[in-house]
Amino acid sequence: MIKFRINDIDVECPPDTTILNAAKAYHVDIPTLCYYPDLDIKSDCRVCSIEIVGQKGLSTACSTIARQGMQVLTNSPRVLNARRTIVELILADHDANCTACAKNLKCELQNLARKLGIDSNRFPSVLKHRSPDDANPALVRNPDRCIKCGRCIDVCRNIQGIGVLEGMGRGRDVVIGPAFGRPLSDAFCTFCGQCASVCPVGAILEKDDTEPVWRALHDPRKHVVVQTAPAVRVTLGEESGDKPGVIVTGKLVAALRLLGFEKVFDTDFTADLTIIEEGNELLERIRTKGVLPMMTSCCPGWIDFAEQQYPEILPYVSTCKSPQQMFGALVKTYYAQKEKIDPADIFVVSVMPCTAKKYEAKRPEMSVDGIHPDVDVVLTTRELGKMMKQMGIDFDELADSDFDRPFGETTGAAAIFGATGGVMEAALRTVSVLLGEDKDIDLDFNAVRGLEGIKEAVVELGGIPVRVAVAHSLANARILAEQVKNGTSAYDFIEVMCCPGGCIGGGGQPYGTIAKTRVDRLEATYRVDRSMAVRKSHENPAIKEIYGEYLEKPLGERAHRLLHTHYHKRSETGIRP
Amino acid sequence: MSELRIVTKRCGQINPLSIDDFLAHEGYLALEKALAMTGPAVIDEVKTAYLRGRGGAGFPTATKMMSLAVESDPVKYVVCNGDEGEPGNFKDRYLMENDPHMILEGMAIVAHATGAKNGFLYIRGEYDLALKTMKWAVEQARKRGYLGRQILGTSFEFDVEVRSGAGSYVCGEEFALIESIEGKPGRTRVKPPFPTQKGIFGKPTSISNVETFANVPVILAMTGKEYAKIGTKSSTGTKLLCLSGNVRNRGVFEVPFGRSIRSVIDDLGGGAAGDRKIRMVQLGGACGPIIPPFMLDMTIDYERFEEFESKTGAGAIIVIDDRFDLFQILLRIVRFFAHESCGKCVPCREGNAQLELMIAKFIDRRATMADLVSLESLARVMHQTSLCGLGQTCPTSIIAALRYFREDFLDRIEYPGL
Amino acid sequence: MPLKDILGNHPRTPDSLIGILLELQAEKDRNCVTEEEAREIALHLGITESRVCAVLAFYSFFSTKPRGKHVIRVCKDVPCHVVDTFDVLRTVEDFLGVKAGETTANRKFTVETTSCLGCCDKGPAMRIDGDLYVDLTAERIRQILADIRG
Repeated sequence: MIKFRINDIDVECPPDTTILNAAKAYHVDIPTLCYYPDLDIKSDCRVCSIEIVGQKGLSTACSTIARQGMQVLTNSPRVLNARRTIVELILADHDANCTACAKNLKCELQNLARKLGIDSNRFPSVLKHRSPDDANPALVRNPDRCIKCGRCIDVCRNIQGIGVLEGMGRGRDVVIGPAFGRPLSDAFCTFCGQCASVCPVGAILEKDDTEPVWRALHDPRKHVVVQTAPAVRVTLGEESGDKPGVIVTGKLVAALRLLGFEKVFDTDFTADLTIIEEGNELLERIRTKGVLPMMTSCCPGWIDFAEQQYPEILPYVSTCKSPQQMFGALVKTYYAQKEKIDPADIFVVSVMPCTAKKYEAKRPEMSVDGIHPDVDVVLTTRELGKMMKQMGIDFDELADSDFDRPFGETTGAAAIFGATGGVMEAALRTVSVLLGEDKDIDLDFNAVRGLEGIKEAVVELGGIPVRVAVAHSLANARILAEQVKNGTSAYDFIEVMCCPGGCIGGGGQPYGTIAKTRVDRLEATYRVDRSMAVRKSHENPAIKEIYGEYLEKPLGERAHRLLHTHYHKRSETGIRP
Repeated sequence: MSELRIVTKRCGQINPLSIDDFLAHEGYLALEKALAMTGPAVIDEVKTAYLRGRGGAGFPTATKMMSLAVESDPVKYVVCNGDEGEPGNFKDRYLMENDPHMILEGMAIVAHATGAKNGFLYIRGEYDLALKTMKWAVEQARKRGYLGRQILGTSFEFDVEVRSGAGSYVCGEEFALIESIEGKPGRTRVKPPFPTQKGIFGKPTSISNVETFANVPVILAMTGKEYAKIGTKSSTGTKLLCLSGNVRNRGVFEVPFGRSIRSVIDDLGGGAAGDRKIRMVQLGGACGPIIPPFMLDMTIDYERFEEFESKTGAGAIIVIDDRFDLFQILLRIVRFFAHESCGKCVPCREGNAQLELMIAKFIDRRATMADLVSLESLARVMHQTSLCGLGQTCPTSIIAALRYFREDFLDRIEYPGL
Repeated sequence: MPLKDILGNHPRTPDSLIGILLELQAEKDRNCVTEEEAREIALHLGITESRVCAVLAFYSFFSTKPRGKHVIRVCKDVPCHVVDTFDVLRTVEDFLGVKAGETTANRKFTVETTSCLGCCDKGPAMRIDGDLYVDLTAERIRQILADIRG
């Protein structure tokens, strides 16, 4: 153990511990800004500068390894002066119009300035105005707010393996963005939103779609319904201060009712539907020796990635729409007919952990009548949190409420869609039955659970060994895509989620997602599964009902028209990072 | 006083494009001697000589060599930093254009001592002639067997790749240089790990200045013990000084450490040009202190310069006479750094912009005492908290000017009521 | 030399990027690298367009916007400044009729300022393409530019 001193405390830590981490263990708070657990140490904001007695300059706590006998001072006059100066310098090159920023009260720079007691700035503003990039439906970039911490570059390049964002230029001319000043929509951005998730300020945000939702809710002509993703019920509580991993399904539904939605439905229902369609699709490919491996298609970030960079593998991707889109299609046909409402008057909102789904909803093929989108607006978990605040909803005081029929009855298989490996597990629970397997599949299929980048397993189903793989984060998806492209893939069925951890770690989830957050949210997801009476999609009575009443059969003509889609090659070239 | 030309011995005496000329003037003899010694023995010789980095930082070369030698990775890189972008410095260009093989010889000796087989020579893109000359020298050395495999009939193998910069001063900083060699923007990296642990392509890398490498064959030839007798205790050997500005004789002069700046300016530089009065002298380069004439008796050695909280810099002595205004000079320096800052860290990126505004206030005579305090405070914070050497030393001229030309600042302050 | 051939002259690894860009730009009358060329280089080296653009934007030599056939770089740092008695930059600007940062109408010259060129013992100095011009006087500058202009 290394023994040293921080201020007047004797501190011990294992070798190779940074001063920052050693201090944390002793509840000594050293302010940081560019530092983000799980990402590379940047050491570029210099906010965590501390004094080491005997050394000339100051050192950054995030990057300096504690050494035996060090005397570290975290609040000496030099340190306090440096810290303050650095934050003032940042603020002097920042659009500090906080009340006009969605990050207001959630902003790490704001918090830091408040913590340091900075309420004036001796430096004049040197901000050079640069236009925002809001040309795409999912994300908005505001260069005027960027503090050049580099977290977005790191996540896009190293975690996602995409590398669309780089620091362009030198010195104060540095602008972080895609090549040649292009908007994200012209670059290989998949809209996964991981950049928005880690940005400390309001430089990258999801596009705010709350206004159209309020308008629809207040429009007496509109019949407004909402669907919520599996990954929202284990995270929405965080928007009201809950720790990660609290299941708030009942309150979620109650809040949505209070907001004024006529019907509150569960995307889990169409997740179950997806399993039926996709399971049968896999079965057909196995039986007819069709194109294998089959790759899941419910993640729009993954679809964007495949269309942009691996168009060769599009034939392998399942033709199933995502649960979100299946839901929209069914509401505007089956539900509209059943309730005798003109589909043009139905306004479908979905609450998703995801930013890419804002793009997905606007894809031209996601419209059964060819005029109105099947899903009108997509809100992120964060935007729902905002709407609840606007309504003055006291989330903790809400009494639980249940989802509405016909799209409210769901299973544990659907609930785990939010987890990496969840779609795979859910699918196997049904595919095993379809393949005539009489042994019950393990309802806690650990081989595909957890945060390892690529997970693989072989399952014996009806005498057929089915080789499966699960990848999360696009860097890992790329590895599997490469194999499929080269014909060297050793799998029959692959699940891909573009966000680390799966949808529970989505780009639209509450801020502050780190490894532990994902673990807690995953744990809650599996708890939801275990609490459900029915845990296999094909055993969902409501699913049997909708096939009986309307869809006829899986992969049938109507199912094909409403629940399946096709993909486009996005560009002539595929650029590899 | 006169020069002591041990490193620049051949410069101007041989045809730099002729390896035969080099060989006829004891070229590659030091390498031969080194190859007959073990690696540790060579490092020991350099240690006895107490050679210190000539690029400005003055880091003991033997220590750097040792850090590379102890790395077990079979792939290691010895890199020569020829990015010489420091305003006022041109000694590395001088060496590369006039005695290219000496540098290769130094690199080879260091490679042998540290177990490296690969080397890079990174030369700033503006040095067209130096690039041509060094590339030509590498070709010749390869043809004659001084680079490549089985050098001089031993099992030693070493080759050098010449790389060009593309217009970026910060690429003279070791990690920015590494990033540039890797084909990326020249932004520095977080330390640790250090280059000798993880450098180019993640491999152990040792980077030294052109002049440092040029000293290595000299040391091997005369022995470290003899070398250490030259100069001062803390600063052995000679230093290539670059005299420029308002002085009669501008150029590269090689003198032993320990001479005074004044003697260099007067005896070698011929004094101020046009019999003008010297107003100020900047030492080391744009990153160095600006001192008044009464301090010119200061001796040139690393210890003396430590007192400026900056190093000797690379050896520039920029003489500025009384036609020039201190603040216009400071403004030019700040603008240089604002333009060259890589932009990665806050104190340097944002600090230089604010310094520029503050200096402008002094130029316009709109400054207040609060501005004076702010200026000094900001300059010190930049010096203490910047991520790399550029940011840490860019305010040096201002810090020194505040100390030695304080009157000038006070004269520009707008006093209320006056 | 077409880009394809330049690419063939370098190892097909990401660290060849700067060498390729230098060679390509020097070849071209417009002294710049286009987006299409950047894309082709990115594909060839297996790197992102963003990385190529980041390098183009970082280093002073490169430009993504077309420039003149000859780029004149005038040193603006202290050692040249204190020996510049006649204003080198102004002389260049007056002779060509453009300001620093601009290109002449006939697309022959672009004027830029540059950081220290490392020939402070022979200043004031300027660099035009790959050639260094030192010990400048107003007369010499005009002569040099006239000679290049032809």
